[in-house]
Amino acid sequence: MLNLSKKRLSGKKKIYETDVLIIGSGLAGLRAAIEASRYGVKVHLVDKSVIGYNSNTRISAGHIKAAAVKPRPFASSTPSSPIEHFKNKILIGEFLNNQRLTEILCFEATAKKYELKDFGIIGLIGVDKKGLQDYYSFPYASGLITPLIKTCKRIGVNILRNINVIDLISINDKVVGAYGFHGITGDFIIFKAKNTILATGGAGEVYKRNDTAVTATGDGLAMAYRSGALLMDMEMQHFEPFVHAEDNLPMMDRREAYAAWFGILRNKLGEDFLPKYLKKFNPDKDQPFHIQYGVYNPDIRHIISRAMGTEVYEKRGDQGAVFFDLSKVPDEAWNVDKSSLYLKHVLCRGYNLKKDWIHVMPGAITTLGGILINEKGETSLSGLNAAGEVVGGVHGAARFGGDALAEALIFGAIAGADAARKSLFSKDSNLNNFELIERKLERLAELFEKKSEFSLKEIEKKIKDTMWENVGLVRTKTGLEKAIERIKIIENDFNDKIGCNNLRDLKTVIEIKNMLQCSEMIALSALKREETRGVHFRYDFPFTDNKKWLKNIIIKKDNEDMILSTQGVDFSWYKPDTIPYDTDLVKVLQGVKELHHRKYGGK
Amino acid sequence: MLQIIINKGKCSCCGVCVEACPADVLEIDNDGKARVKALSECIVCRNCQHLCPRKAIRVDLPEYKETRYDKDIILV
Repeated sequence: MLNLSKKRLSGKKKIYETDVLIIGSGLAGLRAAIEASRYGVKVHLVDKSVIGYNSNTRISAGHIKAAAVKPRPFASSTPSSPIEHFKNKILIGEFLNNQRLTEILCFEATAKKYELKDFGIIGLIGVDKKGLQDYYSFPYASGLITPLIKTCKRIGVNILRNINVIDLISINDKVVGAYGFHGITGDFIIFKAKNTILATGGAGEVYKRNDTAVTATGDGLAMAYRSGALLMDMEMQHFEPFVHAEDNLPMMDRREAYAAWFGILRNKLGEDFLPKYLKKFNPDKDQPFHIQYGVYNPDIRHIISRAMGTEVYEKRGDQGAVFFDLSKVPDEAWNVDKSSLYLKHVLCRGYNLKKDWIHVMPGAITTLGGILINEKGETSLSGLNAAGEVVGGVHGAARFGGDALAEALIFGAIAGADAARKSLFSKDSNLNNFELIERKLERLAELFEKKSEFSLKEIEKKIKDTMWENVGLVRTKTGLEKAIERIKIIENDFNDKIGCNNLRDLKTVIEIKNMLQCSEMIALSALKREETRGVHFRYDFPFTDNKKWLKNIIIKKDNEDMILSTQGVDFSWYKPDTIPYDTDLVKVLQGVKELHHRKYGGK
Repeated sequence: MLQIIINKGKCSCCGVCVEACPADVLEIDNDGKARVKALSECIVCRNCQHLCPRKAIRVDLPEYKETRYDKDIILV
């Protein structure tokens, strides 16, 4: 019987030749595979874990935001038209969006969402009790992934799981494949691909508190960086506010919990602190904030997270978290929630929420920054496309709920089509000499000879703690500099004093390497951006500086150094009339408020 | 109450449940079989239960009724 706790590299070598190689099998990867197969080319879809299910898509709420085909009065926060969606996205992204990409997202979302029906996905356009389109229609996203996997199988995509890709192979700035190892058999794997698509997701795992799948260690971001691709706005990391901070509860938010809309956030002193932070966004001062908007509002999560972070930073938190008080929730709201995940996670573990306050604190979700792409999904390297959370610029500095899956779906399809089309015209890659790669792989085998001085879990924990304390919700110059210094120290220790016992350790080693690189990128970008914008909150620069910082931060590898530069935002598509944006944001929030009132009867 | 029940006799040591867990709840024991490491982290997605080729693992939460989406999972 196979014993994975003792399994080592086998020393065998396997070479796959393909037209389109897709790394990552979340929504973006699966969609790209389907689209590429439509061109009749050979497609390989690989994942370091099982296909599809160990992904952020799987644990997401499954909302895909798209403008309604026919605007309906009760369609909650569904935008009534693509142009409205686009304008609101520029406003919430605080102008950092790559407007061309945002425009594609908003105008193609509806078509791509309805197209999912063709793959056998049901329940996506859910109907509520009143017979109208409902935003919260799709509990858990396995219903989204399974039909896509079945479609991939049916149309002949070559699916390989447990393939840990270590790096891309590039010759003269052209990406010609990738190499790695098989996580079960221990074989070396080399892919010879005409085109490669990165769909590996974000880097939420670099934070101690996160609501991402364990696979989201920023592998694609680090791989692209090492190959010399450009990355943008890495400091933008979205946080979900209502993630549990109790020892016996999973770090997970209480999504679709109707009752949570009526909750109140309190600090150690018992104060309802949120209205204080939202005063300037609050048009009706007589009413408490949570009654106006509903605390659980997917569209202002970054502002709520910022408030919670500040409370804890100014020492008004309890055990590094704040309280969520649900004692005032009306009984009928609990009854609506009977079958929700809320029950599944909280009530079943012995909490009496009608009496007790519960600890909550934000956790990392989407990495908004990422690889710089153009409207075809091409990166700055030829032969390499990217799609999904791994790309940057679609959302700018913050995003609405439901836009992340839309991004994965739409840019997955675009990247798949582009890569397939290009592979039809390109000649065989001139990758024939595997000597260099083999030498690199053999160096991996040496790791099994060494004895670790630290446990890998310990190093992982160190990175996560450092990132959460200093590069998390509240960022300061001193904190960021400390974080960069510590990451450098961890990196040095890690390079010299690490060894592996089995293949799972080797996988962790590669993930840690990628996490370190992503951490460094996030911290350096955050240090450079001396202002507060969207999800990026600098305690020492609390204002948005539109004069100086309507710019994207671009990261590039130069020899072994990380070079950061800035580039002005392109406003050629849409420029709002007034750019000190507070007035516009109030407008966005008023819209949200009205929608909330319409949905829940103004409670 | 939430429980993860592993039938060690049935477990074939393939490691799929550990690979598929998005919350890092499970780990591989010294004998090569699955073991629960951190039950409190479990988000009850039931990836392990439905992907296990021998049905050796079960996430037990009697208070919560599974939806059809929870069950519709395939291993490729």
